[in-house]
Amino acid sequence: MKKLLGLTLGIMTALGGFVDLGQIVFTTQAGALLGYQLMWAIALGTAAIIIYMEMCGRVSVVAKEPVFAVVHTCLGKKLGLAALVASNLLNLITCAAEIGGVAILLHLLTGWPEKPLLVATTLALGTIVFLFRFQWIERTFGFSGLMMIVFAVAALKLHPNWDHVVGGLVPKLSQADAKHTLLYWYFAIGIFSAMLMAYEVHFYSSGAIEEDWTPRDLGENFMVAALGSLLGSLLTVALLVLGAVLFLPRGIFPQILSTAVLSGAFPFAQKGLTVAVAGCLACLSGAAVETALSGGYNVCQFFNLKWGKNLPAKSVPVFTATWLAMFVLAMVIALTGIRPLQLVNISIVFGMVVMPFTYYPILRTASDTNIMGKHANSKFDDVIGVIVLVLITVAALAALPLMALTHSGRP
Amino acid sequence: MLKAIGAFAFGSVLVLCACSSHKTLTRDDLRSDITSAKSLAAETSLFLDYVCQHRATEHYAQAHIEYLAQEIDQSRQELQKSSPAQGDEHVLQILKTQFDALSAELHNIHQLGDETALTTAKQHVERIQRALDKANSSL
Repeated sequence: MKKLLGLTLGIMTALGGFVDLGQIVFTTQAGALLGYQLMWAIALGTAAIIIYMEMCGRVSVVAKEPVFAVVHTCLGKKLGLAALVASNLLNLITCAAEIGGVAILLHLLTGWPEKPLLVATTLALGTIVFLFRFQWIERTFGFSGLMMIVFAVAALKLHPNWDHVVGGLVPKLSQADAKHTLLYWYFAIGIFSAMLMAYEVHFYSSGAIEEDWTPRDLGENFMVAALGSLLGSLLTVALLVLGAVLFLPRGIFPQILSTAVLSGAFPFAQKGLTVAVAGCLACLSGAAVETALSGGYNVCQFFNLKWGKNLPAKSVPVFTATWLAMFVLAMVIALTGIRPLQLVNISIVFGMVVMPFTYYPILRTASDTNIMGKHANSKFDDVIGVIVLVLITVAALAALPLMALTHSGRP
Repeated sequence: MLKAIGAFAFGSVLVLCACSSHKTLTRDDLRSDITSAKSLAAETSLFLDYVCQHRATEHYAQAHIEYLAQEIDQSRQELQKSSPAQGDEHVLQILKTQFDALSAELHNIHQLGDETALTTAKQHVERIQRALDKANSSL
């Protein structure tokens, strides 16, 4: 039973991490524009996040070093600080986007005005994080996020073309014209980036320490990372399929969250729509909590300060103040009226740019036998880790030019 | 290393600023705007079908209309700030007119239970889609 409940860390990390506002709209758009062609980007992203999530969990457990302690050690003070500032800015932007998205979903559910809902959402999430122990936070958002399965059922009910789904696992270097080739690569990198958002590994590695994992739990670490990511990946596939089956033939390029949500409820009646909205609500709330807590974890780990959600708030003042500040600032940003999708587009693309500064230190530490002893990476792990890191770096270099050339993916 | 990252970030911001401030619409931009308008019209049509089948909750339907209308108004405002290349003025005018028509159609949908009104709205949206197709093919 303990192992089953432990899975919720992986589920919450993956659902909040890669089935968030950005992924829901971005992947549906990719399906609506390119059909099943980017299935390979999801497969690649899934493999990459499983490899690195397992690695950072292992480093946390064996070396007792969560991600930002490792970043500090590997990159030094100056570059490490730059990575910390960039990561926390992205966490803040993402948190603002998710809170804005939650307010939109609550508006769709209740019809109440959006701005008061935004304030109420922030207060509710802040209260949950303040009152609940870490394990209950992950269980609450992990289990409630499972309502997103309605999207997978909807995708199956709409009878996708399975030959094309499998065909999408093979990347194509070029499309019919230059514009579509650029769009193809922009969405490929966007999907890959959204699946590897750095706050997932910040949260996961800190979660492993919050849960007091020991080297005896390393088997569970792999299982949690793999199963959580596979579930997130399955839902991402469902979103791509829904875009391809429902929107592509009708010439729809979904630009608002409420249209993307409709795809998950399309084959069903009103109850299906309510479950689809509620599932998205759980995932976006989970993502907001992950990013706010990651902000606190990162600062404390970098400066070697005491942290932990299960410790009394007064004994970890910097940690508590930082995640609270993340929520408040995110709410202020969202209240300015900037559209959540605009924010999330920025966070996905700029997230890709700073990603190597999170993943390189993890790989280096996991390979170091002086730190990891018998739990260090095998040669095979290292080779795979380096290949993934090279892909992340190439994608990081291409992300901004592609964003500019495609006007943020406009068809 | 830090300087290189700083230069990269600064360059990126410059690129983004350059992209966001362009005002003259090329043919590609116009095609892209027409695609966006056609997509919004198709979204409206899909939504009307969904409502006609009584599958949308009332709150969802009302809120979705608001978001669609906001998106259309924003696209319309962006067009207002732009000017077309010589010879494409008529296409831009058609586009603006169809955005206005779509916006008006959404603002007119009050009675979600009135199937006749919804069917009429759907016919109007189909007419908008045809006008946009025609504008696109004239480019």
